[in-house]
Amino acid sequence: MNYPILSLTLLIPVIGAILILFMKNSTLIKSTALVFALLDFFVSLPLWFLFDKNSHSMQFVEVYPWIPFINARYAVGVDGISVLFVLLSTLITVICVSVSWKAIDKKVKEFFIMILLMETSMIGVFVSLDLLLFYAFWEAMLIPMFLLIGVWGGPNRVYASIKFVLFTFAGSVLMLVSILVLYFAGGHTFNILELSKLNLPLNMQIFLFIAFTLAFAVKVPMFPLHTWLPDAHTEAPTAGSVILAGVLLKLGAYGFLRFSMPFFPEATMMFLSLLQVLSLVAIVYGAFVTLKQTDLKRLIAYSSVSHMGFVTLGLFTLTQIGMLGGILQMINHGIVTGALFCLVGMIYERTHTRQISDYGGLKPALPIFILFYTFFTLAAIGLPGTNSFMGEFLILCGAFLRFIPLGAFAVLGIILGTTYMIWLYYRVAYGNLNEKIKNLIYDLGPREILTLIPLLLLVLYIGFQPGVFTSYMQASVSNLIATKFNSTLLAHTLPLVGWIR
Amino acid sequence: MMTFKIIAPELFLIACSIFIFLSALFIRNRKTFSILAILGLLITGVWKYSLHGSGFNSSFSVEPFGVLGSWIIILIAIYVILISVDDLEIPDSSYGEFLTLILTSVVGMLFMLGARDLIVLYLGLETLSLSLYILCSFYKRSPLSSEAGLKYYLMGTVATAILLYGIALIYGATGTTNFYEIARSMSVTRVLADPMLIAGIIAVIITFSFKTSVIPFHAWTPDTYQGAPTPITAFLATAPKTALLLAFGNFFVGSLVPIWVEPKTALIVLSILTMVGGNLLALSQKSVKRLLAFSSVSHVGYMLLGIIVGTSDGLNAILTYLIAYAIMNLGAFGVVFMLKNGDDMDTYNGLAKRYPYLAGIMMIFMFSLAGIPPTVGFIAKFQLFLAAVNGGLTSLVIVAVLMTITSAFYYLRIVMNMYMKEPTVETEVISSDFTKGLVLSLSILVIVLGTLPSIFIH
Repeated sequence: MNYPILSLTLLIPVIGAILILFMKNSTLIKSTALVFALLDFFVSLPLWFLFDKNSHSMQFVEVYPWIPFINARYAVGVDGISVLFVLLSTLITVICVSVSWKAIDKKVKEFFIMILLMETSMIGVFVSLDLLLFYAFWEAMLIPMFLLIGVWGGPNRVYASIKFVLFTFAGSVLMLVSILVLYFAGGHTFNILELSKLNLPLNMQIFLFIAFTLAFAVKVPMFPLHTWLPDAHTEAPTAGSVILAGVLLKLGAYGFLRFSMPFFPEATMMFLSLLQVLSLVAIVYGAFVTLKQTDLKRLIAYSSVSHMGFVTLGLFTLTQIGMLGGILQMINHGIVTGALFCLVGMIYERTHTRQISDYGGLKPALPIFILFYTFFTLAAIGLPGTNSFMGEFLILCGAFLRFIPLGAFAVLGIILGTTYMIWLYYRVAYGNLNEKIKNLIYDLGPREILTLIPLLLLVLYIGFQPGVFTSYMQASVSNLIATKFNSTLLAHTLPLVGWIR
Repeated sequence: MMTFKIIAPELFLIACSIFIFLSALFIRNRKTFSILAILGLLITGVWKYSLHGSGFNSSFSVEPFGVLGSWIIILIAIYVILISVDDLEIPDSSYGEFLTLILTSVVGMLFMLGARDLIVLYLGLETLSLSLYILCSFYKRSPLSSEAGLKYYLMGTVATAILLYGIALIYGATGTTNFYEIARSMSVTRVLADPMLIAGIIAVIITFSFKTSVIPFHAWTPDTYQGAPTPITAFLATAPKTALLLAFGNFFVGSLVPIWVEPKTALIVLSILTMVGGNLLALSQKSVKRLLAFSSVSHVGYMLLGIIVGTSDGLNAILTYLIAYAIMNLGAFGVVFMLKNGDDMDTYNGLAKRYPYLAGIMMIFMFSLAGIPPTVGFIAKFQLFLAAVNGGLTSLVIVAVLMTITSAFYYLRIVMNMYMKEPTVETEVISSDFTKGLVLSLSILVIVLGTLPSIFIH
């Protein structure tokens, strides 16, 4: 299999979008979108099999001159940190197309064009090895997401979409200035690999670190920059929420790993405590706010704040085990929260209400729905045997290794997480069936079941075989810690990592 | 006689315009004359391309840089003629005058681009301005259009008078009006403290600021842009800005470098005012043409960064920016022109429902103006900011990028009206298929140049 996998993965959705532009029939449009999403998934699948797990260097690299005048290149490649996210993105897109099959009834053409363009820009962020290319994909993502929320969203969609754009845009423009400064500091290059070998003076590192981290912290989102997320999640159409939870939030955390840490290691060490504390605040504060929510989607949105707090905590422990857990938990959160948003979207399609108080007693009425709902609730809680358990466990190990109180506080988040998920489950599944929705509900159809099955299988696969997934990341993460940070904590964690294999 | 060779293309264009003016008195055929004018412009462009050198005691020169600028202006003029040929609502009897004025303004701009002497610069600017005054008031019966022309004229003549005064003062201080001679005399005698020279330079900066609508000299801009016929507004927003920024850029970089600190400070203040003011004033506009007027003000603010850098690198970045700026503004004004009541913000409500393709095209222009990839607007901004950071203007670039957040808000407002609101006002597309095709091709150009910028960045 000797073809440019990454370029094809980037190109296929664009081709699909261009074809859809000339179509009129909405069934044809949907089928085309599904075919191209599936095609893209299968094209990206060889990454899983051909990736060399023992190497920490970039693989599947393709380099072409792009703007020779300023030495910007079209350079793509994946390493252990990014390879799984490419696969996650292509999978999530298939899910999104499938879940929108009936939910979208106006401007169908534009919708599926936007979903496909979204896919390209998300993957582009993960695979770019050139800062300018990365920034172009990073910003280009705003356009489809802005329209996805603003055109096909809920009642308050316009407010939510403009808030999303202004937050993310404001966060990332300073990153643009930093990229320019880096370009000259690194000797006129945008090459990410060369720039990460630089040893910049500390005061410059601090300035650049703040600018980069601000952009990523908005995207994650870290407390206190999270306020756009509940609005965007709540108002977005189901597919938009799934993309947001599944991939978009991971871009910020990925940015920390790819840019903030390797480019500015000393500045990272300086801000480490602050970032750890902010992660803890996000975990605990997010969980408490989640408890108070009365809107299904808003509840899951706030739980994302809490869960992403775990992710960033794992990354900022700067221990191998914590970072592996963080990356694994990014994937887990994408799958589980994505699935929960799918489920909420499916039930919303029937009842057109998101108020938790309108539900209740779904357990006898919708057996198949409740089966999936129970499963993904347990996965979100982190029941042993599901994927989130492994992720959270590794993160906690890292946190305890770094500084015991960190871990102690984070455990609080797990208890609260169980509380809100179980309480939500109780309110939705048990009790009396609400009269308002009694005649509206019917159980999941084959398309909906088929949409959820791959996510369910992945939850179990990661839950029972986490070592398969961590083995992809291990070489790259070890290399990052060993070359950029104090490597004493690395040695500590090796036996543990050996255990999960 | 040999020196006339260097301005032969301009002379040819003057001949063309006189020919069209005279024959239009007898024959009234819009298509024929448009084709003639376009041919004349193209020949002028090719002719200029083949020339190289300077003449008239090195007060006029043709260099690759200026030729590229000339080509931008010529292509803008051709585009404006093409969208006007079927759709500009003026009587056939005055269409010849319209073409003549476009051509004479192009002549003025070509002279400005080649000017290496303040007198030549002044002559070019005056030729350009006089043509524009008349073009702005071309809708004879519309009070708005007359106001546009009159306002532009009254304020513009004062500005050119100030320029003439400034030239006289500079001549008094240095004994010359040639760019290079000025630079040499300043580096030899260090006449920095000479109040006469300072007053002269201030006068030149004021005129430049006025003509490119730099805040606080922008007051004429919104009224003129709104009142003028839309194709003329498109022309006014793009071509003269190209000529002015490049020509005055030549003067600033070419002759003021020995005493660059003071003019630089003045320009920094002006650029901050323009970036901040232009973007904030655009926020609350109800008229799309006024909104685009203030947006063009803010874009000039960004472009000033390239002049402040004070090197030919900066000017090259401006040239790139101007190409992008021309494409997206011509496109956006083209869409405004295509719609009935296109100036009214409410016209765009729910446009995506009625004309999905047109809304998509407008959206591309808006995202490009906001500088979001993968559009040409992003590449241009990037290129310009790169040059500015290289010139040590990092803090100014921070101001600029912060203001682009504000600008995203008002550009997205149009997108929001088109995609997220229900139609409220009756509207229809009133242009010919030819105009539609032109605007569509500009939107494709925005994306193509945005993804493959090496086509136009040298």
